[in-house]
Amino acid sequence: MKVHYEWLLDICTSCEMEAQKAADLLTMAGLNVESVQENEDGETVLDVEVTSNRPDCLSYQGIARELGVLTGFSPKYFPDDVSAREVDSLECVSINIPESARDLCPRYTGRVVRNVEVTPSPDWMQKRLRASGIQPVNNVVDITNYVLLERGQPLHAFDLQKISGSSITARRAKDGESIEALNGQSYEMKPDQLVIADEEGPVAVAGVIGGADSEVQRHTEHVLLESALFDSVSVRHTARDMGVSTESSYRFERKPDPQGVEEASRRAAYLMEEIAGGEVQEAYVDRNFLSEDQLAAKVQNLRIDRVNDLLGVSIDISAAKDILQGLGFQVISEDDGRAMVEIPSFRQDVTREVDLIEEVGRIYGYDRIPEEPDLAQTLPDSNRKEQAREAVRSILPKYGYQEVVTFPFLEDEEQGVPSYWQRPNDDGQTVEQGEESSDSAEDREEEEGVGIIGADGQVERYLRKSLISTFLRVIRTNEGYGMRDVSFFEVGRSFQWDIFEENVLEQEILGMVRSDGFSQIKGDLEAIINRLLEETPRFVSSNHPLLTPGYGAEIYVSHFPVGYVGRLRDGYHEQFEIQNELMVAELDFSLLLHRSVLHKRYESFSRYPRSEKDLSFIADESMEWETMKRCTFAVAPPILEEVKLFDVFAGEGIPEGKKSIAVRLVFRSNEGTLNSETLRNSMKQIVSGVEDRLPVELRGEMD
Amino acid sequence: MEFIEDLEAFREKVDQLIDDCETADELGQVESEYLGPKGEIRSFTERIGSLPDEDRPEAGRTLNSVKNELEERFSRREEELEETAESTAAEAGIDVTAPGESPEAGTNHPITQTMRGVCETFKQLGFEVKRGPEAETEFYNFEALNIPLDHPAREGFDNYYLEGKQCLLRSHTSPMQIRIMEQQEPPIRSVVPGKCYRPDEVDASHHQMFHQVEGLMVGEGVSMRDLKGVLSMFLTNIFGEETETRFRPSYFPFTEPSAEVDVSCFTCFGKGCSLCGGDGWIEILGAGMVDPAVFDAVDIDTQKYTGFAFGMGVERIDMLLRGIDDIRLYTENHQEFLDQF
Repeated sequence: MKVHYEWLLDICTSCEMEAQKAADLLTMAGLNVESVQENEDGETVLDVEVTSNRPDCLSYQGIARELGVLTGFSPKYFPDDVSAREVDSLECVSINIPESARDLCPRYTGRVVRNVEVTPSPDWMQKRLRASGIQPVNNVVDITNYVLLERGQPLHAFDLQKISGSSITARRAKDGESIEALNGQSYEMKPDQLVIADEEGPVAVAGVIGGADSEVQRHTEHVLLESALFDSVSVRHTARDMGVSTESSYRFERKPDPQGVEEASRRAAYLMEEIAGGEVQEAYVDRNFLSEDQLAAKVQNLRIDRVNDLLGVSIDISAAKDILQGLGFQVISEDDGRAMVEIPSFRQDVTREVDLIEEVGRIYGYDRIPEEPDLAQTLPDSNRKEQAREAVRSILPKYGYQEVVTFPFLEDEEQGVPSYWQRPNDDGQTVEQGEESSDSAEDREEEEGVGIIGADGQVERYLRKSLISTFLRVIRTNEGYGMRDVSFFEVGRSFQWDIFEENVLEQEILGMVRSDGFSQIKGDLEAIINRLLEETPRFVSSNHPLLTPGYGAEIYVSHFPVGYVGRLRDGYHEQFEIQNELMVAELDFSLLLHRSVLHKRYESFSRYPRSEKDLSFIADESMEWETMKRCTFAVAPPILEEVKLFDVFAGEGIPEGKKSIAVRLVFRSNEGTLNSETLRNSMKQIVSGVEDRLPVELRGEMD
Repeated sequence: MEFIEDLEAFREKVDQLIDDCETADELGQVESEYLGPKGEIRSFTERIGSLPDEDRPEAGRTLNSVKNELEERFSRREEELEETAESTAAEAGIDVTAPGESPEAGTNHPITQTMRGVCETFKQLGFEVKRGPEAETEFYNFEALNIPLDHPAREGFDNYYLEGKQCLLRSHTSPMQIRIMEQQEPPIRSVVPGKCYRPDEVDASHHQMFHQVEGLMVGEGVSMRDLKGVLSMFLTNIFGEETETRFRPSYFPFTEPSAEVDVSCFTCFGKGCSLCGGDGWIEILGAGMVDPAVFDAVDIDTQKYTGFAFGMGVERIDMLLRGIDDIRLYTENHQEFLDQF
């Protein structure tokens, strides 16, 4: 809210201080003053940020009250004494609030001011309005705005003679009704919106904006003055649908003082008499549907011990009392550190003891609360999962990976990228993990994933089902900048519906991509899994739909699939306009973290030297290394510690359809240094065993 | 005496040889050939035995002095050669201005780094790091946090609701306050880093996805004194020793009393600049004492326990710390940007 400093000081009598000083005081009490500036009239204006719980401070009176309690000066209240007599119905116009509209209009007052002389308002008033961000119009309209600013209660003035018929009604709009508003725009009204209507149709959109037809203009003689209470949610929705926000709608959205409605009307009438030469009619209507309970003054107990415990200070009860009274609260009684406090109607935000404590705290000053934390209460768990997660995050950059953070909303083209959860079954067809029957596999493949609702209530976009889909975007971006070698990883979430399509399943995935060979990325994956788990991963040839057939593997730990790795399927390069040949991998990070170990178990190891021996076999080209390795261990004596693949070769000197596999065997014993005879015998045992069990033969001689 | 004359000739010869040596290797060879245990000097030692008794003392003394003298010559020459070698090497030398070769390492994303820094600070204060779901229910994201159904923050256009409207992408990390308090009895001290989503118009300072770190401390006798102490420690740790902090009253539905926390501007140190908008303070986080309505939602006894909560935007902190002027850089993932950190 723009606050004209001179006007504020006028209310806060005898308070004379620099505007900046006042701004600092208000800021530190919760009314953040964002700037102190001079406007084009040379007036000092404070831009005050008012939090949504403080409608009372959307007024000069409210802000003056705050400044008053902070400086010790009491704010002055301005005259509103006009002759007034409540009647059921005005003679000239009846005011109807049908039962069906009372939820949206719990209170409506109307009074008439006759024979106004519509002129520009006096300079002082124009100056104050301009400084507060409102353009002056004429004295009658300016007075309604002036009182809105002064008291926080929006008002509206109708030209009485432009009201058709003899009644006005607050009701929900009828289908097809429209109104030409004061801003010159025409609006179609919707049935849930509240309008003020005469016998021909809407003359105002309740609480939002008046109609052009009943506008107070130069020739207006008689004014119907509206001061009402409209439902905050309804006003908010109506204003939003219309795409307008007015001083009035802004205040109704934040619920003004229900008790201030009639006083504001009186104050405006008083000013119309003083400034516009009007004759205020004694009779006024106040249709008040607020319940007894809503109108009754609320009383709340405040314990000073509780104040001090929560704030961590030691304030005595009389200081707390002074603060609350300065803010307009009444202290009804006080006994032994307890006070009974009556809450003023303009502070609907205060309902509980803790709310009173906040009032005391913010005026006492947060800056006076000492900074002394007592942290000797608890020691946290070691949090194994978090440690493991951060360990992997720290390791991968050392392997050359750049961490990325991507936005998990899919662009249209990314929508077709298969989900992480699609897995090949034994027949090589893809099925969803956890799906019983493979019949539904095709339906599943069509599955769109979790949709995000757009502004129009329709599904607008989808959440990613795989990290790779969002990686392709990153790769394209970087290729566009001429970056060729890419190694990226991200720890992020993928989303899908559970099988009942009721809950969103969210899985933490480690996604990786790199632009060199399979063995590199496989090595990285092994290293990560070894860091996390006691188990060693297994790589099983498989065809994840994201991967080029024959160039992919599924990764297992024990019997659990934990992810896949392989070469990105060619089709995606064209679709996503990327050049690089890419190796991609996704790991179920949730599962790995769940199984991760904080401290790996120690394994004792032999202190005797190792001996290495090399062998090479001729095998079919289809022979997998894993098979060779397992078989070697199966037939070897226990002194075989390790089997390493050090060369695979096909071509010259090797028969068609065959390959040469060169193997390094590492032997070691716990009992002593191995002698050459033991080694020779072990080698013989291994060679004959492997030749017996697998279609391979030794190439050349043993050394 | 012939012995002495021969010795003198030997000395002169070796002396010359030493002078002629140009490398340490040559010198070593000369040394072992003439002075070593099998070197020529041995023949002189052997000859002493065949000299007349009266000549022996003098011959012995002379031999020793020649030997010492030559040894000294050797080590002097050795030093000379070393010096020459160094200066020759220095001449050939290396171009120290040629580019260095660093290992081909990547980096962690700046957001990860800053988030980790924030969490590490709180870990040292006894806080535990927890993570929660990004797809949340309305109960956790709003209801339990004292944000009722008709509250403006729940409007469709301010949130990413998911199909069926059963849930939404969390608009803040605060729902984890509820999840933590459901799972754990006080005392509680946790921080929650994570992604949040809001449908904002994307520009240099807004994105539809951003990161927050939430904090929660609940126990007996936890007061605003603790809140101020913990957050001041954290802020000086992140922004530097000289940083001053300011706590201003504010409003959040799930804290009461609530505070907005500012730090003194680390560019102008409170004098006023464009970074702080001229008043010398930068708004950094929101905080407050846990609202009793929130404790009620998780059945925590409000008479026994109190607590505080806070939340901060990681992008904002990172942008301030590194002088980054466009939030979109974080999700663009341009390698040249990421490599810098």
